[in-house]
Amino acid sequence: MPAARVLLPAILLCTLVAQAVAPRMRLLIALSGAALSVLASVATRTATPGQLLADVPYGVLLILAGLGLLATLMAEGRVFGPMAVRVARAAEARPQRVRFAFALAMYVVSGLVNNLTALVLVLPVLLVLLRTGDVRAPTVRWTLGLLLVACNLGGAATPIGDFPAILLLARGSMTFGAYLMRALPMTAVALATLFAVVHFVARPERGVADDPLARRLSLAVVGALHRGVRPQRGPLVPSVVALGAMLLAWSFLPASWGVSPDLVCWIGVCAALLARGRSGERLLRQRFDAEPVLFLFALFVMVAAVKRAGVFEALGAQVLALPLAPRGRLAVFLLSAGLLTGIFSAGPGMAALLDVAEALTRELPGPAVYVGLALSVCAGSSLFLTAATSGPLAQSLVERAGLRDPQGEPVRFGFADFLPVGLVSFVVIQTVALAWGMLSAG
Amino acid sequence: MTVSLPASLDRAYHVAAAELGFSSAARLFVSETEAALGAEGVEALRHSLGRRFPVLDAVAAMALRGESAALPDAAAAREALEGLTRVLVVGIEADALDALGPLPPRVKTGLLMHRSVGVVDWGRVAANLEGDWELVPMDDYQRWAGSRAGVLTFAYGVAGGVAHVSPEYLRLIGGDTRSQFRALIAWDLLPGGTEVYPRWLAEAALDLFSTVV
Repeated sequence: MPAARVLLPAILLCTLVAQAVAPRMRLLIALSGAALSVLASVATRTATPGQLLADVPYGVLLILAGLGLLATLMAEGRVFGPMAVRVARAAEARPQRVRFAFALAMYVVSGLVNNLTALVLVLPVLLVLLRTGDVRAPTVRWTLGLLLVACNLGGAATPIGDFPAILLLARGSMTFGAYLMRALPMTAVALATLFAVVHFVARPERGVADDPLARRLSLAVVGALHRGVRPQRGPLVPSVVALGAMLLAWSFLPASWGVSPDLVCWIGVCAALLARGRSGERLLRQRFDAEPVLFLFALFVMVAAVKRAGVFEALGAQVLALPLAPRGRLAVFLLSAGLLTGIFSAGPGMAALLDVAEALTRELPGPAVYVGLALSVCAGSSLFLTAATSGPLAQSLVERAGLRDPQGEPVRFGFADFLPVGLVSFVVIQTVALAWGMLSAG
Repeated sequence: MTVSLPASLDRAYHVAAAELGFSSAARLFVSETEAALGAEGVEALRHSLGRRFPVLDAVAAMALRGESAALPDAAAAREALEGLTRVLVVGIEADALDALGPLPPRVKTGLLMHRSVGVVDWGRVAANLEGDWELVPMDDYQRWAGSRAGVLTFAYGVAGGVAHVSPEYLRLIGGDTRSQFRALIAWDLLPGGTEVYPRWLAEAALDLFSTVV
């Protein structure tokens, strides 16, 4: 067992570092690392393959896959494009208003559906505005950066928005309502603070004169490019009805009935797809995105191996043994969670840290630890462009759009360009997470 | 000339022309500029972008002469398409395709996914069109050929035995392709042609078409 306590965490750590260094190979790296973990577990007599596979929280994977399919169905309903055009019109193509309106819209959308799908459909409208308007590099960077951070905050605002919160819901660490009531206000506070910091401190539009004709033409082009795009009731109605029913079931079904959150999602998504008949079958066969499910499956296998070796138990005991008051221990844990997530991204961060968090709930209220952890993971996801999956996706979409400033110079949106936004966002969200933890720890 | 135009105008028109078409984008830019800055603004627009974008130059010149840029009349195009059961459109012109409207249900309509102007979101282009449109990759166009199939493209002036068209048309119409379609139709959206060098456009001999409308 002592060898396993070194070997299995080492495999997990090496895999996490490798996937962070080579994100384009991350799925293959994670699956290979998981296979190696299982082999090492067998060799050190830590666990059998059957035991490790039984430890995987399949409910989490089910919810993740189900919500992904529902988001794809909504995308077929063409609701996001017209929504983005309305947002652009409401903002009158003024850079400050565009930034806040799109960030707010993505915050709301990301709380309900997979933010990658929403981003792929909303970003093209925003990119048309940026390509046709007189915008400078700072405006582009803060607008796109804030959009990504708003996606992360929206994902942390509800129990179904993103993986960390889904994990808490599916494992039964918190109920739907209990998480929502606490995380929603906290993420809203963080977003409002970020808006204020960008508007009053960063001021990306400093010294830029307003050009009404440029704005008018931008809006006219956006309108013309979407003149005939209408929401399609066929795919939209079943997806919205199913999501609404699932939200109600998650919120109000008594736990004593035994209908778990993953079963609610399973039934809801099947009902929505069945309502589409053959189109539903085709969507399931051809458009199901297996990548996040396989990636998290691999992580869960590695985490299960480390857990079987007793490492998380020991780590939890060490955190509890820190010569600090319980709230001090929580603060150290939350800050570490934020920084680790920044390096390893949200999935690995949350999967590995939840067991340590459980140890902390022995001496602190569960919501203080779990919501604090979800917020810290959100802070870490916002630190670097590579920390959240939506970052590289946004980067490639922006590169393809070929944005240029008024002088014709290319405007890039890479790791270094995002960094100022990431640092500000990390400080703001991590501060909110710590404040939440300290205030709610009693 | 005291009117100052946005520095982004060139890029904005390019973005619009790629996905809406040269003529549709020009009509949009001229009408918006006229509404915001009047004739002086249109003059400045022509002066600023006319050389680079000849269709915009021509549409702006028409507006300055007081000739309103009316929506394309689709009646003649519809007449030319009569009897066909498959129509492959080459090039994009949003106003013209909107005016054409959905063809009878027995007519299958496709849009060639090839554009030499700039980045195009083809899914968005198709979502804007009325009726069922299929996006057709260049290497799949032969599936659309046949004795009751036709190709429709847009021309920007016809004179001296040639029509100015988007280069995509020449990419498609080789000696082998011409004989595979019953009708090769050019829909002239700029009867007066361009006044400046027709940059972005290609000359196509009129014998590359069966009908010009």
